[in-house]
Amino acid sequence: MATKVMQTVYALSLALANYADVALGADSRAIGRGVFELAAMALPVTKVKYAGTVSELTRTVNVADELALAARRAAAAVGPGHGPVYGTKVHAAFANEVRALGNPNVRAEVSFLNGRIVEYCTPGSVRVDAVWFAPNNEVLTVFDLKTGSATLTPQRILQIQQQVGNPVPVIPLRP
Amino acid sequence: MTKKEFEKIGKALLPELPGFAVKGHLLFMLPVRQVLRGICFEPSGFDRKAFYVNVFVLPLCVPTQYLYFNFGRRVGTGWSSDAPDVYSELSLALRREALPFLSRVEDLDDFIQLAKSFSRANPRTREAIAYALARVGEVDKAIAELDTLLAMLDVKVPWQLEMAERANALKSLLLHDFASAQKQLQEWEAESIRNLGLEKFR
Repeated sequence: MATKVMQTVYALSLALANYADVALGADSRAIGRGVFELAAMALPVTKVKYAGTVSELTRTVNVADELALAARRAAAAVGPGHGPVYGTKVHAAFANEVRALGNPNVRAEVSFLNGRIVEYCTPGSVRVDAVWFAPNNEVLTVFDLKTGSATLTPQRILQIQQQVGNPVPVIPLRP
Repeated sequence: MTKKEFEKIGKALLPELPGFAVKGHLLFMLPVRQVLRGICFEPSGFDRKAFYVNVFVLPLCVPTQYLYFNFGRRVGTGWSSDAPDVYSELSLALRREALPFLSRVEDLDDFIQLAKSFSRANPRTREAIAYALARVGEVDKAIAELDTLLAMLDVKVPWQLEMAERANALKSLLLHDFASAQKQLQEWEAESIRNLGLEKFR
């Protein structure tokens, strides 16, 4: 438990340090684009582009942590396995975990097309596993669950960002 | 879940929702004129029993081929068709959350007010506000909003280029021929209604 707390503090301080590096630049609103590492949370080492205020960044780390735990619970509920069927089961369990969080701003299974939130299976849309929204429906962070050897590629990140309509952070979750 | 299953849920809920109609997985308020006010059931991609409920409004003068929920929210975080009391729970949630949201929007003026509370970092918000302003005759405000929209679009992205071209065309009409601008907006309304399969509910 103590280790976990220390790791989270480390992750946050690292994130804030990186944020400060970019926030001290020319942007007077102290909103910068930075890169931070979610290394010490339940996530693997992952570089993520981020644009936002310090308090938003703190909340992002908290939401990411919450969803990483949800991903772990989902994988534990399904048990060991591999392959596409296993992946679908873990995704189903993860969606269930996200719904169970009961947070109206963290939504499971959201589809986007050309800057619009659309319904499932709208032609050309991308479906992402979880999205953290602001109350005004601004997309703050997209979370993509990965199982087995699947990875979050730069092409996939770009595809998601183009359909969301903003260069939002896309964070991979690996149980 | 299938559209037929959703239609069954929608029909079961209709008595609780006076003034609504059902079409497939969509429940919507009548009449359908300038703003579509609806509740849309959406299946989970992973779980046959799970589904989501979106309450939304959209301005029909912005041409669209599909439903979108930018001006709305989910009712609850998710639902399961095999949960006990799902109908009564859903009915309660719709009356508590969806109806107050939808009843705020009687016309395009109401829509403009509502849309201003959504993120304007998304060009779709600016677009909807600009078109709605143009449709209600607020020409100067519409042009100002179109200019802001055009400044934020990245025309290297195909769909944003399409938005920019259409916004420029509308701006030009507003500047030079207001009647033609109104006619164009009415045509886009009709196009959206046709694309969404809602002609008989006008």
